[in-house]
Amino acid sequence: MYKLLLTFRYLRRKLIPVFALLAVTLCTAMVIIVISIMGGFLDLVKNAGRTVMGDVSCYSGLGGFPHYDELITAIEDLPEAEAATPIIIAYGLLKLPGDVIKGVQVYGIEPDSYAKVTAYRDILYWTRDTLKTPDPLGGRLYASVAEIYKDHDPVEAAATLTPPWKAVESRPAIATGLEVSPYNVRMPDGTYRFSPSIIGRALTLTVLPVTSKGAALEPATDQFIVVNEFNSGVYDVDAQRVFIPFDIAQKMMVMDAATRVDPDNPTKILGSIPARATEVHIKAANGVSPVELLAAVQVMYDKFSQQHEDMPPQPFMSISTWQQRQAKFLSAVENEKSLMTVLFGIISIVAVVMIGVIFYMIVLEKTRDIGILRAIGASRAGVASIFLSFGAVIGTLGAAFGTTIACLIVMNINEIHAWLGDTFGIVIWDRSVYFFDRIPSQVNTHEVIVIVIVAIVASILGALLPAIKAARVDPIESLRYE
Amino acid sequence: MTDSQNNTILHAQQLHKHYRMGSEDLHVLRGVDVSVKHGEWLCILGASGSGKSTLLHLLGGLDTPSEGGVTFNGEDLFSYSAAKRDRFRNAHVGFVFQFYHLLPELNVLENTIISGMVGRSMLGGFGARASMRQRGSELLESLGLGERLKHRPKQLSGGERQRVAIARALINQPDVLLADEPTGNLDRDTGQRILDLLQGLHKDGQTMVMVTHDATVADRADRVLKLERGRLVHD
Ligand SMILES: Nc1ncnc2c1ncn2[C@@H]1O[C@H](COP(=O)(O)OP(=O)(O)O)[C@@H](O)[C@H]1O
Ligand SMILES: [Mg+2]
Repeated sequence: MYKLLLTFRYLRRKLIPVFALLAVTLCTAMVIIVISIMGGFLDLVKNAGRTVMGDVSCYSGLGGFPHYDELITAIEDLPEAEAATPIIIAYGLLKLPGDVIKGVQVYGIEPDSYAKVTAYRDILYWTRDTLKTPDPLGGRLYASVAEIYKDHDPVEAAATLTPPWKAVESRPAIATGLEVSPYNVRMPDGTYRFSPSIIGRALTLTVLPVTSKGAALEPATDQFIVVNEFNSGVYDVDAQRVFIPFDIAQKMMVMDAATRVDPDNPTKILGSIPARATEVHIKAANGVSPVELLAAVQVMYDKFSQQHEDMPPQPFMSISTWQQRQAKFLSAVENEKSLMTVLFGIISIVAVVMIGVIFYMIVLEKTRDIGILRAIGASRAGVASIFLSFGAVIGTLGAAFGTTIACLIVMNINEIHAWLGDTFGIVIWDRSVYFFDRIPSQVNTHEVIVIVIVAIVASILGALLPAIKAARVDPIESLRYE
Repeated sequence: MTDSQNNTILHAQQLHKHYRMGSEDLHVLRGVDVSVKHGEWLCILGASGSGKSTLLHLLGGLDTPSEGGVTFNGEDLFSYSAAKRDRFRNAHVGFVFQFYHLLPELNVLENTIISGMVGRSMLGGFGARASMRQRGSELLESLGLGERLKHRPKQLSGGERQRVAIARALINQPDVLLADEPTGNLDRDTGQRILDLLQGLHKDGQTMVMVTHDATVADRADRVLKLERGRLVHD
């Protein structure tokens, strides 16, 4: 009781505790801000491409593998899997307006099932809402894109990969990454200028088909109508990837079903060649982790490949989780993580030492008070606990202030950044050269709870030595003088 | 037990106290025997440095003797655990010091009831808060400080501070009040008023042990003993 009273009185009356409080506040805020933003970036790196990837995928190389539809049926029979989709991946040359030729990664997808397995629908840039929002640069550009779409739903067009416009209905559709079109210019604030938009235009795509044995065939060329653009959030993806319908890709890549004929006598049928896909992506059922799904698929595939002798056995058929496919990023992420841990270790030690020093000063200054308290019957443990609870209060308040400040900063980091840019011309994060399009502004509750607990524990720990010092004060000695 | 034994509240037997300062040994108390009776006002007179404070601290269980013992109502104080001796001090002893020793961060009322709070657990303290404040205010009122409850020690004169210190010593209704030169830091008139106050308490039955170097102050007491060369002698 008296401990509480004194704790709060010491808190109110002295300037020194304010420094301790400030130290805890700043340390807490700093750690939360760094963890949130840096951790956010690391998460983004880690999750890069996840929007366009299934939880687990099977692939055997650009030559592809047959029986993908049977494989999908077998996969979808697994209770661990929710949906699976075939993909054909190829590399091609895209001729853009202005005779710009770009190397692109062509994804032949079945948009329906692909949307079930990935976030395909969510990454589409043009939606009815986008078209309705006021243009950041004065309304002209978005309006002109809306003009192109007329009453058609851009998402629907991409979800079916068919051009919504009557005149080009029969043409195959293409959805391109936002950075593919040279007309799309990313501004430092992360918004885009589209002048003009490539929506509705015809682009020429050329791919080089390969046989399942790896031999190159005649290049295939076709004209595609741009139905939508997408923003996966990852520059590499947005700058290189295009989506086209699966069956078109299959034909262009000569991966469709065919009959094998005798080269000497073309009328003589030797057998049939089944259709191929290069990858199958799978989404895990609700509550199933990618790792669990992976195990199930691997077991199933062993049986599957025994039944189909033309299917490559593992490991030629590589089955992996999205994390494993991102491994090149992940190892970098792990390094960063351990670096951060070391950093926070140092910050924590600094905080503990700072609290320790400040509290030691308070104890030294308060020796006489301690003597008085001992004289009126306070125990050693009692006076020690004053300083411990003092530490706890400083820690709690500091953590609370720090968390508040950090949350305000992190949640508004993009606005703050924009304001800094507008007011002082300070651009730390130039989004015209980006990997990710926004500064992460999410605060992870679990992390914050851990940080707050660490801050409080560190404060109490810092107060521990001074508290022991307080308990050891000799009351007689401290009461001898005025 | 005989009546006279029964009447003894504090008893010191062959108290010795050494202070070691490096290689030097300072033998301050060299066999002090003293008994304090219920309701008695005992004054110990001694020159500065004679060991008065040391003796008073031993009597109140604040310090431990090098040899000998102190009994309180027949119980050996130094056989208690440290924590029990802390509780004993809180419940049965009231200290008054020459330099008042108030807590600067607390106001007058809080300084008074802090003794009461120290003896209570967190919950007990909250429960008894109102009654403690009530009692503290009444006590301060009776000591003429009714108007100063919210003041800080800094805002008070020496005499007023000493009265707050006395109120703090009295709040737990101690069996014995131990006063260490309570007027030592006050001018004559103020000192007299403090002594009047103590005399009033004594009249109401408060047992008191006071140490001082001032013979005129000692006159007020029932009994005066002199501390000389580490021993108590009759005046
Ligand atoms: N903690 C200590 N260490 C060393 N010497 C001490 C200590 N406390 C008291 N003394 C010495 O013991 C003697 C008696 O001290 P004290 O009891 O305070 O005397 P008084 O109260 O009569 O003036 C003094 O000489 C003092 O210097
Ligand atoms: Mg003294």
